[in-house]
Amino acid sequence: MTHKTLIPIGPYHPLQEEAEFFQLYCEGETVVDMDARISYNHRGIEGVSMNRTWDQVPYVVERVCGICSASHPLAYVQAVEEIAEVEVPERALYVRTIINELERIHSHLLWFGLAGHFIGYNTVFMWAWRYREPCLDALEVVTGSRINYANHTVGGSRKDLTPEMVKFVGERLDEIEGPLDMFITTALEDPILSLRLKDVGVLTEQDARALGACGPTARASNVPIDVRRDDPYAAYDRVDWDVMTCQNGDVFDKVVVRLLETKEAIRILRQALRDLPEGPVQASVKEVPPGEGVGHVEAPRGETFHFVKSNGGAGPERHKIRAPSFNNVPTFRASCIGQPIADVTITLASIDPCYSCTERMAVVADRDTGEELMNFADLVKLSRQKTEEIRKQL
Amino acid sequence: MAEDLEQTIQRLKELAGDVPLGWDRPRPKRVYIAVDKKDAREFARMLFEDFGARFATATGTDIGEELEVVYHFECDAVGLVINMRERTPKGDPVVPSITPVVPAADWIEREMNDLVGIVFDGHPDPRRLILADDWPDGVYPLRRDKKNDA
Repeated sequence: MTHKTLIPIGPYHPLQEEAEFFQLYCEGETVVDMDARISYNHRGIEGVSMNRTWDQVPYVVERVCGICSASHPLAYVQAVEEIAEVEVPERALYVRTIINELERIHSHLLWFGLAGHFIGYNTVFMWAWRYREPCLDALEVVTGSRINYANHTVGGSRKDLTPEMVKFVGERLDEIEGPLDMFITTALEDPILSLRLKDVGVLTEQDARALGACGPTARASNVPIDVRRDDPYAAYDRVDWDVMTCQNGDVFDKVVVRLLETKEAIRILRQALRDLPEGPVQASVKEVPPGEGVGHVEAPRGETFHFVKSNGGAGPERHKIRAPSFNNVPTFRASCIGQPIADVTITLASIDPCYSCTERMAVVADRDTGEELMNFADLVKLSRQKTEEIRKQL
Repeated sequence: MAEDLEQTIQRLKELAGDVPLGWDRPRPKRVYIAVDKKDAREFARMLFEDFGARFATATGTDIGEELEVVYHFECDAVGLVINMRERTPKGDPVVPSITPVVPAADWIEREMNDLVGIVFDGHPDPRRLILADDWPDGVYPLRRDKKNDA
């Protein structure tokens, strides 16, 4: 007779400590089914946004997510600019690119550090976060804030970059680039990381496409999509860069894709800082006529999609926000089932889920008798033990 | 050679045939296609399987007398966003679910059911997604008649 164990994960995510809740159904060590119900943290931002004016909304939507706080406003302002047919000044496009790429670096390094922490690699955590700081310093100097930059506005950019800022950002990139190369080498060559993360939590190309996965989650599964290239915005079509993809869709490939993307972000930034054109950073926008607009932006986690409908009034009549995690979280069912329990935590973390974006996570279960409960601390222990065992066997 | 934007649009027009009720292209990379709700599932299947579009998300809106669903599909190779629009009277808020043919629509249809009160006929798992278990039935946060004080 099979003995089923029920493992609740949440309502805090084991890795990122946001409100969410998974239930895993296990037979022995293997996950046989899982379920997720969400919405512990629903803040009704779409509703809030529909009661604000056009200029107020960017400051509302950047609070959708602290980490993607440049991507959401950019997607929104692009949707509105599409309705109002605004010509955004060239310099503002570059400023937007600079801020959004700095955001990508800090987001990916944050995730890399947490992922290391989670499999028992605290050195990775310390180093990744150490070199995330210069990036946050650069953002603070450019926008005045480490997160929630309040920079993108309909028609351009609220702030301009001075030559001193350009120099400062360049110096911070110098500081990050060397260690980043070291991270990439370490990740690619470290035998324990390979053994621990390869073939774990595989999301196949077919599942990635069927479930509408986006961002690094899709690109690690060989789905070469990137809004920055496919429907260029800001200054991404004016600089030279590549879309990073991997073939296997396992956790290891998701690490590699993110690290390589961080490297590309530095490449984009160096060109944008060098080529920053002269001129104004704000176009005048008189009114927003009735109409509909789509704005999408490649946030660090994937495509952020905003759909805005105007009736010619002072603010949006309808504003739909779709954060990347909303499409990426359902891929867990495809990537976790059949996995050992010790691998589930890092698999759940591998899409870099953002619950305040997705807003939800909970689970319903058939509470049969004979179920055993394990708590989150047990799970972390299991994950670390597995790394330790691999280390000993080497 | 890869298809360019105009060729892609041409292929879409051929696949769509005479199903669309209306066709609008306000900007080169944005297409809005209105369909009758009875054709919605088949049209979505065509976009996803035959045309090869990626499902992005969907927007449910209370537009007064009617409820509107706009499914957003993307054709990444040329950066085209295809918006498939269908409407249904408020008195009959039932539209066919496209989840059986487009699995990625699962959560967003459940969300629209919760927030706008659109019922997706044929959805494989029509449980609540967003609203709490103790939220009253029949109260939809994004309906126009819903006041913010509740």
